[in-house]
Amino acid sequence: MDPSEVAQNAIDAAARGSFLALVALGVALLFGIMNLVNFAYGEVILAGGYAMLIFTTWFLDASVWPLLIIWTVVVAIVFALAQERLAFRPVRHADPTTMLVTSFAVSVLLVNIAIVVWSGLARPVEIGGVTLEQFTAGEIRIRKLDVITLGAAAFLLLSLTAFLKRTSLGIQMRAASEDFRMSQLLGVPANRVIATAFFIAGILAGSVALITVGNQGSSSPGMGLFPLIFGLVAVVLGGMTSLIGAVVGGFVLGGLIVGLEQGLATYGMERFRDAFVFLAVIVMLVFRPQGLVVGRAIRERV
Amino acid sequence: MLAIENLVVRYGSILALRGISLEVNEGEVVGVIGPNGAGKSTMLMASAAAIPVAEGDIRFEGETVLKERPEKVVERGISLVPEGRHIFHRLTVGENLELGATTRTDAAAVEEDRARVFELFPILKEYLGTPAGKLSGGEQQMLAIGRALLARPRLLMLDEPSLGLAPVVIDRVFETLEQLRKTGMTILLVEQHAERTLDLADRVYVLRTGSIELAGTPEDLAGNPQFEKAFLGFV
Repeated sequence: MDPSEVAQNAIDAAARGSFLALVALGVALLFGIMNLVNFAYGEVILAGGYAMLIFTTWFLDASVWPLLIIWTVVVAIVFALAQERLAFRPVRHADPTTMLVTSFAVSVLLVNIAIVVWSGLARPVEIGGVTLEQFTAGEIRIRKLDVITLGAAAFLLLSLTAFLKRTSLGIQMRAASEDFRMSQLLGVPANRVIATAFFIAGILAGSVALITVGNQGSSSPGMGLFPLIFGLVAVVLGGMTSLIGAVVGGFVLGGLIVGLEQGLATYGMERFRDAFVFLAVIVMLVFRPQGLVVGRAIRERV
Repeated sequence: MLAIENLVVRYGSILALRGISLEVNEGEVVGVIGPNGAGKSTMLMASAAAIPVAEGDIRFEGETVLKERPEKVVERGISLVPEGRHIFHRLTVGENLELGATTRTDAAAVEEDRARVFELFPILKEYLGTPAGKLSGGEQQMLAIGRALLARPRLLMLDEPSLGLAPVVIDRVFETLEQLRKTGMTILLVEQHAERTLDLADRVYVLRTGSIELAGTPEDLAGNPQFEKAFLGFV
C-alpha cells in the first residue's frame, strides 16, 4: 500500500470511528446510569432523521443549516426525554428483563409508526451538495462530510468530558454510573441524573441522525438499527463500563470496518464485511472478555 | 430522634426483619450487634428510605421517612455510611467529598465542614486529586465517613465500618467515632465487633434472625450470661 492509500484509509477509519463513538457514547451513558441496553435508542436517531425530512419538505430548505441542526437535535432530545418519562420511568424498579423488553417494545412501536406515516421505503431528504463535496490533496480525497463528522465528534466529546469533569451535575452523573444506589444515599436525585443521561443521549442521537442522513441522503424506518447494533458492539468491545471504553470501542470498530472493506474487496467478498466484523469481535472477546477498557470493577486494596 | 416501630421488611418470601422496634435519642450512640444475616443492614437501608418496607414505621424527629425519596431523607439529616464503604473508585477524593454535600446549598458552611473533616482525617487533604480507588481500605473508610459528614447529618448511621480492616485501622475508626460522639453527634452503629461496640455505645441492641433478642446498656449486657455466651466468647 502506498502512503497516500494509507492516509486515505486512516481518514476513512477516523470518520467511521468517530461516528460509531458518538452512537456508542449514547448507548454506554444510558447503560452506565440505568443498567439498561436501550434498543429504542436507535429510534431516537430515527426521530432525528424524520425530523430532517419534515424540516426540508414542510418548513425551509437545507440552506438554513444552522436551524436544521438545532431542530434535529431538539426533536431527538424531546424523543429521548419522552422515552424516559413515558416508557422507562414507570418500570425503573422492575427487573432488568422488564426494562429490556420495554425498550424492544418502544423500538418496534416507533419503527412501525414511521412505516405507517412515511411508508417502509427510504424518503430522500434534500440536504444540498454537502454529501458530495470533497477536498483533494494529491491522491487523497477527503469528503467534506467526514471532516464535519470528525469535527462534530471532537466537539461533542470535549464538551461532554468538560461537563462530566467540571460541573457538579457531571460529577453526580459519574457517581451514579459507578454506583447508583450510593449516589442516591448521598442525596443525588435519581430522576435528575437519569433525565440528564437521556438528554445527553438525545443530543448524541440527533448528531448521529444528521450524519446518517448526510451520508445516505434519505430517512428510512431502519436507519436507527445499523448505528444501534454497531454502537452496541463498540460498547461491548470497550468493556461496557466506561465512557472512554465506548469511545475507544467506536474507533477500533471503525478501523476494523475500513480495514475489512479494503481487505475483502481484493477477494470480491466485501458483502460479507459485517460477518467478518462480528467474527473479529467474538475472537477478541474470547481472549479479552472484560473488553478493551476495564472500568467499574477495580479491586480494592485492603 | 429516630424511632423504628414494628418494622417488617421482606425480600420476596424471605422475612428479613420480623417487626423490630428501636429508638435512638439525640446525642446518643446506639450500637446494634448481631451475626451475619440478622437484618442489621436491612434496618439501616430502610431507615435511609433506600428499600421498601412491608409494615411498621420509621420516624425521624417525629415524622415518618417512609415514602420519602432517599435524597429527601439526606436533606432531613440522616446519613448512611453503608457496608463496604461504597466510595466512588473512579472519582477523586475531592469529588467524593463534594458528592457528600450534594443536598447542601450553604457553600460557606460546607467549606467549614470540609475543614473539620480534614482536621479529623488529615490524610484526605493530601489525596484530594487522587482517584479514591487508589486509597487503602482504612483510608477509604475515612473518606466514606468524611463524605457522610459533609451532608451535616444530625443522625449518622454506620454499617460495619470495621469490615475488612486491620486491627490498628479499626482502632483508628473507633477513635474517630469517639471524637464524633464528643461533638454531640447522634450515631447509630451496626457492628459485628461486639466488644468495641460495647465500649463505645450508650445502649446496645442485639439483633438475630430479624428480631431484637436483647437490649440494654453495655453494663446490663456485659453481665447477662445469655449475651456473654453468644458474643463475647468468640470475638
